[in-house]
Amino acid sequence: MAQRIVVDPVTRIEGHLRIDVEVDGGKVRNSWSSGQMWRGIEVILQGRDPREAWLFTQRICGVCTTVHAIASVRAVENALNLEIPLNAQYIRNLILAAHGLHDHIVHFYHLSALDWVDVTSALKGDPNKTAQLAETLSPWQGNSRREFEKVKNKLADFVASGQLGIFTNGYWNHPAMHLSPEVNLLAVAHYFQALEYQRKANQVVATLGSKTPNIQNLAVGGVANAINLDNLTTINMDVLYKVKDLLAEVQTFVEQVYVPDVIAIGAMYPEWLGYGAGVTNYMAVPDLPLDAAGTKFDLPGGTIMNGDLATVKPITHFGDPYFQENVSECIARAWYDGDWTRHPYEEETVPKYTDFQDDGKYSWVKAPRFDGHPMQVGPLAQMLVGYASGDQAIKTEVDSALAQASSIAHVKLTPAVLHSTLGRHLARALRAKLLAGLALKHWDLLAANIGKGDYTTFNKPEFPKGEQRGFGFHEAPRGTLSHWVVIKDGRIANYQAVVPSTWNAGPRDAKGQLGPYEASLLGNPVADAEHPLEVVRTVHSFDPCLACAVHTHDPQGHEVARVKAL
Amino acid sequence: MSRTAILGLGSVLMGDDAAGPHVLRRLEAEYELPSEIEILDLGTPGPELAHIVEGLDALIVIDTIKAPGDPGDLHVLRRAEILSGNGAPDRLSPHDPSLRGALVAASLLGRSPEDVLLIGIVPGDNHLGIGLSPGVRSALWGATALVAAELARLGYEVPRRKERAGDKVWWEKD
Repeated sequence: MAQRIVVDPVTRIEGHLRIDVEVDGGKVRNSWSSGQMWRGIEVILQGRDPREAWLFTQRICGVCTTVHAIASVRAVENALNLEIPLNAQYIRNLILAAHGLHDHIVHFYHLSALDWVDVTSALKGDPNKTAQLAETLSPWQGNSRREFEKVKNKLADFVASGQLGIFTNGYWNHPAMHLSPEVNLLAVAHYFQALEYQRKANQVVATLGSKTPNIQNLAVGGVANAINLDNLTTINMDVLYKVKDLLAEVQTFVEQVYVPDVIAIGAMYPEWLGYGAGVTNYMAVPDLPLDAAGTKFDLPGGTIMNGDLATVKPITHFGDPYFQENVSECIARAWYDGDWTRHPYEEETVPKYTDFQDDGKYSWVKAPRFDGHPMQVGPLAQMLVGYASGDQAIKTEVDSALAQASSIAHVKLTPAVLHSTLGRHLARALRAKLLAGLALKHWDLLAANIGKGDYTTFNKPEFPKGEQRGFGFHEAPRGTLSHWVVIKDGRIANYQAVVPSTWNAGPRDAKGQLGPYEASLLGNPVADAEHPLEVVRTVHSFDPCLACAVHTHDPQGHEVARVKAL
Repeated sequence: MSRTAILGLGSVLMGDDAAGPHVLRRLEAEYELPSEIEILDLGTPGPELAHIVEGLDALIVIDTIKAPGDPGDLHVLRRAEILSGNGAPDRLSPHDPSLRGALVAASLLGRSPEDVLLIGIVPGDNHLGIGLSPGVRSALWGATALVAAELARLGYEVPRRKERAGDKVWWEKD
């Protein structure tokens, strides 16, 4: 008998996501993804100065502040055809790369690892054996027997004091958990270490952005950082070397801990390379620009349709018409007035709430489409686009990771396994490794450019009379983000943000095509409908930017369970 | 040197959720504050709240709170009450600032502040839009005075400004 699972927490800022699944015969047969918060940033931005838009957009969300700031200034710069100085480009890139590193590390260790790692089992791990195992995986110096003993004792203290604290939401002893106590202990030790390294990445953002969350140093036309190597209050040699040291430390952690952990844990759950593919149309935008105009990039962008790598089509530059012309949003199944599909420049946001209707409207999230197709966005999309278009750095990382996972799992793994729940985790880890290397590369580029005597960081924007339209994109940690602005006589006339989590978490469209979250859940196993850990695993693999709640229902629509997936 | 921080939490785009950031602005307008105190409008931070509170000796937080009462009612909680979960909500999403989660994470590293005061303001309307409801707006002075009193209790001198500075916030239109 089919059962329906609903995941639906009530959060303080009402920004949560609700996942409904119908379970029958131990598998998910149908699913709905519903954003429970009304959004419409243009309501706040209309009539304001475009130079200030980024201050507001970075408050759309408390975690993804930086990404909305950057997409906003890029949109206004695109509308004005304004190039920014090279220094500004590099400084922005350092901030973006560091933010991405912070976000990917937090996502794996602190927001999703406990879907796979059983903390209570770690208490049974033998520190000696754990150290021996760790030695086969990585040269990391934080893998000593003493370190594992320390972590085990700390954990035991927490359990004894009844204060599992941040671990209280786990699915301990769930039948779908099957790592050995030693692997669990290893992962828990790295969970604690990751707290330290994600913070180092964030320190780079704070140092260059003046503050975090909510960076202060952006401007339409560049950055507000002054560069003066002799001045203590500007970007000087001390600041630059502090940033470099932090980035190098984070790089070591990513290479020696994050990537090996994901490969090992992934190889120990090989069945999860077969679940969770869903929508296999992928999109990424290019990022980390290397020139003032945004025509050359270090991370590739493009689209892939139907999981066929041969269909790859590049997105090459800021303002690329292939991207601009093909993005639309559909409200047929969302709580807005009408059933249109429109280009972001032409959208309006008129809320019209019904109730949750399986066959009608059921979400506040609009359904973004690319040339009419739902697209999966995120690190997996970027790694696949790079792989398909022959990006050498990406190809090397993906092939080497698959070879290592193959040797642990004792099966030959091909790139096809990336279309899966665990594929998203692996792609994110590999993207983090690339970001770490590229951050240091852009540090070198910045230092070299300053060394040439170029201290420029800002080109002043001019707003002509009349109307200008522009869009800015950014490949954020969760995937393709784009902001779209219409300016009239120097004021904002319309503004839309099409964010990664709407691409992935969006509802059905007018044609009934499922969004990526929805499609990825079909066929997922669910061993225990009251504890739908498997549903949580797949949803978490997308790095949802909202808390989510899973509701399980039977075929008659009766709710069987309602759990939080934080 | 002991470190004290005053944090305003809440989204300035979500009606009464902006109460925390408003109180910070008013505090700076009404009092001369010692320069070593960190004053941070954090919006709605996620896990990074943990490392912002790490290593502090004293922490004052102004936030909206889900609690009984009318819009603008103030609730004051101390560290033990926050940690016991009594009145302080647990983390519900990576987007929800949870003071409790942040304090637990900081104590895991042995770096949690001991002196913690949460001033919670009961919100009226916190839907998308800029501007406070009348009840919450009229509660700002009380919350501000509570922060000043706490600073005095911690041993800081916080004289009132002779002339009140402007307390206009950047996110509200003229």
